[in-house]
Amino acid sequence: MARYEVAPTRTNLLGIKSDLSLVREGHELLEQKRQILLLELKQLTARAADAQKEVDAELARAYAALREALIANGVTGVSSAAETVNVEPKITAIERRVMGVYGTFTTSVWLDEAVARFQDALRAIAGLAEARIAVVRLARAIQRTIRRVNALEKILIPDYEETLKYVQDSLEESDRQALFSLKLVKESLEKASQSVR
Amino acid sequence: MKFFVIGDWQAVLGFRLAGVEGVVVTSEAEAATALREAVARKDVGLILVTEKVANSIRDEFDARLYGHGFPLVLDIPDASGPVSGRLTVEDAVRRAVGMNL
Repeated sequence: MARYEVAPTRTNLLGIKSDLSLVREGHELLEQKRQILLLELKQLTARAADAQKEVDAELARAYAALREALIANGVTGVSSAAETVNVEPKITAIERRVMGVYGTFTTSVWLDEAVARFQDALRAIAGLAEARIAVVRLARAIQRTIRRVNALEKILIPDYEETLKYVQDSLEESDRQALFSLKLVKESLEKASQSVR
Repeated sequence: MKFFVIGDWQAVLGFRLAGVEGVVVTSEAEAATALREAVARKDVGLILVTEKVANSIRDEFDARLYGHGFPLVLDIPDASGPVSGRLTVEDAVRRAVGMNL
């Protein structure tokens, strides 16, 4: 904690008071933002957990289909079929499954099934990747907000409060002194008038 | 942006059927090299690494998983299914930002 270097005047007192109420308002808003983001993070995390389950399930189906294809066509059969598949150039291209594509390079239903299942798995994986990125980004935003809330709570607001107290105390002190010297003046004036009489 | 897969032969073969390139790795050294090479490629957007392979290069993998960099990485189960004791999404968030939900 540290107080700001300000002269203890009434003008500064008013200024500090309005600054402090502004800082407190900002703190309140940031705190609300933090809570809203946290709520959103919980929802996004739940969504990512669902996406993870879906990936696990889709992949289990895909690997099972691959095993069937391997039994039916052998490693060489599956591998040579795989060689004929065009490498998809873009992730977005995975989104649409072009019907009939797999019929063109294989005569095995097992292979067709494996191809379709791995395409499904890829779609689920893309969804999971998206969900996880969203979660991590949001979590980072929350972290930044928490840091700012803490800075306000632990540094800015206490500093302002201390400064406010200093200015208030100094003003009161000088009021007392003014009163005291007024009293002295009054007393000496009274004495003077008594001795004159 | 392309997918790229690093894993055992079944994972690589399976994803190849769906048009995804990949490389089969059988050792930690191969895995580390494969990850570095995949990361260096400009056309790859998402690198899939099977869990056991990812576990063998955990530090390097996590640095990318929780980092800001591109391409992204994701660990996926291999043909034997999800490994036990893997991180949940909640754990991953906690790791990434050091925060409890």
